[in-house]
Amino acid sequence: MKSSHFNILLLVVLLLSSCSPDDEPGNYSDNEYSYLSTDGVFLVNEGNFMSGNGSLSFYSFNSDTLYNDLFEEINGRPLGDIPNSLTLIGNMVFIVVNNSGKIEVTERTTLRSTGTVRELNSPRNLIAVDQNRAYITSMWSEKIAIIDLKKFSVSGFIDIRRSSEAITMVGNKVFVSCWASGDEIIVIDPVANKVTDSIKVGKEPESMVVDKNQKLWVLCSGGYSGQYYPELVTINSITNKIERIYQFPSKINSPSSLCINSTGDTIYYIDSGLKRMSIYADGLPTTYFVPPSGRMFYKMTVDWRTGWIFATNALDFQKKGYLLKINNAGVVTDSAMAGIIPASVFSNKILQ
Amino acid sequence: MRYKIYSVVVLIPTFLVGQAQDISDTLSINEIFVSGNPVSSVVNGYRSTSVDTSAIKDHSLGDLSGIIAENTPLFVKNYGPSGAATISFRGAGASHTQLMWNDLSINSPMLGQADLSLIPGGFVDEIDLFSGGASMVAGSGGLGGLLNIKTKPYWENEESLLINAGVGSFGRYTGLVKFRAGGKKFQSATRLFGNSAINDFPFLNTTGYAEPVTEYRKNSEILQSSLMQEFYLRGKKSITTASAWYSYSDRNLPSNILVPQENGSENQVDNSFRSVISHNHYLMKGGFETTFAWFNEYLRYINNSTSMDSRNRSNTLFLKEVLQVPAGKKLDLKLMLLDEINMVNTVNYGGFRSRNLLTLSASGRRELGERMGVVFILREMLVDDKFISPDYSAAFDFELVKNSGSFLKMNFSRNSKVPTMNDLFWSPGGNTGLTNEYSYTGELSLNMLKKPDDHNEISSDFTVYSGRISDMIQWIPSDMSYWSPVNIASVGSTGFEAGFGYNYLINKTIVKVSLNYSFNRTRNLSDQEGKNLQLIYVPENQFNGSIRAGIRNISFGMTGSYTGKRYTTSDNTDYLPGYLLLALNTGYCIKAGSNRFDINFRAENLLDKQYEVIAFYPMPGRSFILSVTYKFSKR
Repeated sequence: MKSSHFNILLLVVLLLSSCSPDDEPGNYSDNEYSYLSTDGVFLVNEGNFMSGNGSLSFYSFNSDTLYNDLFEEINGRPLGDIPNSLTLIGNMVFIVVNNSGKIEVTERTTLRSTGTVRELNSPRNLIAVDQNRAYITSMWSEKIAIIDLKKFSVSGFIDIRRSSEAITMVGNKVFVSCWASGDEIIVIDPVANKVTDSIKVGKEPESMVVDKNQKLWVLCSGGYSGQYYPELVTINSITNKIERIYQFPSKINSPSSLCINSTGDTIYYIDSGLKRMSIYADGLPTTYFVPPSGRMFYKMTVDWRTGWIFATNALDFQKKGYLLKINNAGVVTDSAMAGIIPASVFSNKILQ
Repeated sequence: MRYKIYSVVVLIPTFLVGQAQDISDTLSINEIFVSGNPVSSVVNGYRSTSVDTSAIKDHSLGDLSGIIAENTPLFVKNYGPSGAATISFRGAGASHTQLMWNDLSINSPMLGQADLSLIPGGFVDEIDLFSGGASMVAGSGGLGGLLNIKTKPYWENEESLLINAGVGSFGRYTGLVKFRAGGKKFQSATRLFGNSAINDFPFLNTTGYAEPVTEYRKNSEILQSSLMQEFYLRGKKSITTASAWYSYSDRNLPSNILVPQENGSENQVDNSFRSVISHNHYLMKGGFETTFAWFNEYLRYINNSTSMDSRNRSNTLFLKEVLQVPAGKKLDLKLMLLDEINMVNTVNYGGFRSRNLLTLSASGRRELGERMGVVFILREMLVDDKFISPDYSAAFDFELVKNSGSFLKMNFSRNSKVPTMNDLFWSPGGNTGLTNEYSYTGELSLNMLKKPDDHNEISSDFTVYSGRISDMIQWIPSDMSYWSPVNIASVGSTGFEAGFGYNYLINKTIVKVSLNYSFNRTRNLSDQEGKNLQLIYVPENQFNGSIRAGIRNISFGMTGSYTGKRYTTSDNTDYLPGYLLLALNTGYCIKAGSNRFDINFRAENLLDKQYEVIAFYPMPGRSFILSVTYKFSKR
């Protein structure tokens, strides 16, 4: 009899403890997420198309730990369908959720939601052009949306008559790549919110970086159907003229995810494996910086502070993938399981 | 989970007891109770089941997916009232399920699967289910199983007109017309179906905002129409059939609730025309059958937000010859030659593509004494100019007590499925180097039938099975920036199925009870980490039960179906919870000479359960449909 009473008591305790409000999503103490205030990288996991299982992770340099599913854990709701990119502006994080047509805005050190910018058409990448405004590219519309960073709302559009993907700012110019079926770089005057020029490049310019000489490097993937040779193009950001074209040896190549180190003199990209190249090189690298070795490299970045390279392995694009930490010698020193289709990685540069 | 199953088990007998007390022995038989055993065995050596005709009747204004979800332990993957619905046998995929119409496959040659939501319940007279190796009996390619829907003539000197109109929740208007004429030598059957619905049902959105918000489903409108005409001509030793079936559907496709969508921005139009001419000739022993069929399908998918306008047309020609010959006193042989020609014209293949599938199969049953028999099936397929590895099946049946109808059955099968046209030719990515997927399955089944007297019939069955599908086709990222299919995966499926049926008939009283449970573990065997986890969207547990009865002019039916949790991620970390759905049917009948009026009321999801079959695609809560049927018949 005593035993049965004990069992009932135990059951009640278990039930009560399992229903503790502390376990409800959104109920937490900020200390629990103190690592968000430290150096690390944010990782956006795209999830499967129309499955709503995209997520946000954070890799802490201090603890060498990858923390997953942060947005849902903290805010008690899913991040959305196909989060694509993340931008840090001041003490805010802007997470662009492509197929949900929105930007989730959170506090930087807590990831608590502070607002949502909705009714965007297939948003992709965001850049702040001044303290009050940001531009966001769009895959399925021909307009760049202007975001009011104070009101978290759309304040206007710039009609570029093409779809847009990568976006970067050099001096007082904004460069936008026209990726899906496109072959141009659009130049925008951010003061006037107007298109001022366009530069014809290779097929499907997918990613861009700016080197230490203020030159724009554009990686053109060659299109999905293999009809064109991929190209790496350098553009003088002052004259808007192409200075050099590196053509890939085969149409089968499908390079992506161009990134650059903190000193602006070495670029990296994915071409099955990871490739590394000096900005002064005469030709494209013929050997791998990191060979594929059965991995499905999807996105990569270089952490500006530490120089570590972070790349994602999306495996079969169904299972949860991995975030890889790679040193300057091209050796994978650490890996951790991330979300489904781990994609873009962004340095969490601590504000001084 | 245990608690929920326990609740179901407790709940169902409660219904049974409750109804049994209400039914007196002076009930009149309503016309809906015409035939069918809840658990029946129609194929020697193999387990097959038939859906009760009264269950089909309950959904005469609905669609095939509703019949299957409510009355069988099969999992129906359903995106909502206007979305596609496909079925899964024993954990296999939708493309591993063959849907047949009068013994001919109506799976799309492009997708390799069929959308059950486009098939009106009123266009179906019988449904036979063949799980696992049993599908070899009725056709090829059903690695998971096969579902055969049939239409039947009624050889009576009777003309009848049935008009059935219904109005339901969420802006639903639906109607069915059936007209039959002819006699014992010639029959004409005409069916016409129409359906429109807005499907703007409320649901609780717990995902899009900081707090849960009640929203109304948008972009879920559907407009459907269908016409079927059949002619049957019966000679002294033959039956000739000519059938034509036209179907049209225009539906908006709602997105998942995490994706904002403008109304009308995503739409699909399906158009199909199917025609069959068949001649069966019966000899003293055996006979032959010749069938020619032409199926034409058109699918247009529009997505305004991505500027997509995909137009696809396929034509399939069938020529089938079946010869049934007795080879000795205790051996029956059946030879079948089937030529299927798929022709597809779509922008997605970059033009016209075709292929020819020639199948030759031989099957036979040899009696071993009075209570035993063995069955064999051999099948060889020629795909264009390439022979593929032959398929085969062997089965054994043993009648436990002579003439009892109780059998022990076992079988082992190798079955294969050709890649879909999309797998082969989709541009970009299609892979013409794909080989067939194939499966090995084995099952052991015990069917019991007990008829204590003329009024009671009890049936039960229990089946254990195990199988493996190999060289499964999976689309994976290629070296280019698109995906491509390869023969890479392999899955293993084990489980058991149990069924119980009880029929009570005395004077004009009929009570039918049916209970089914299935347990299935379907594991990904190609997982390199060796975890062998359950496949996504494959429930381990499914249960359904029903009771149908009549009292004087009143009919009553109650069904309950439970679908267990389904993992939504391949590492089994996320899942959708299980759900229990109850449905109620009641009807009242008035007869006046040759005229008959029926008023029926149907309530679905009685418990108003908020649930999702697919993540982020909400399903309707409690809903109702009121229908009126007028039938005129003249002998």
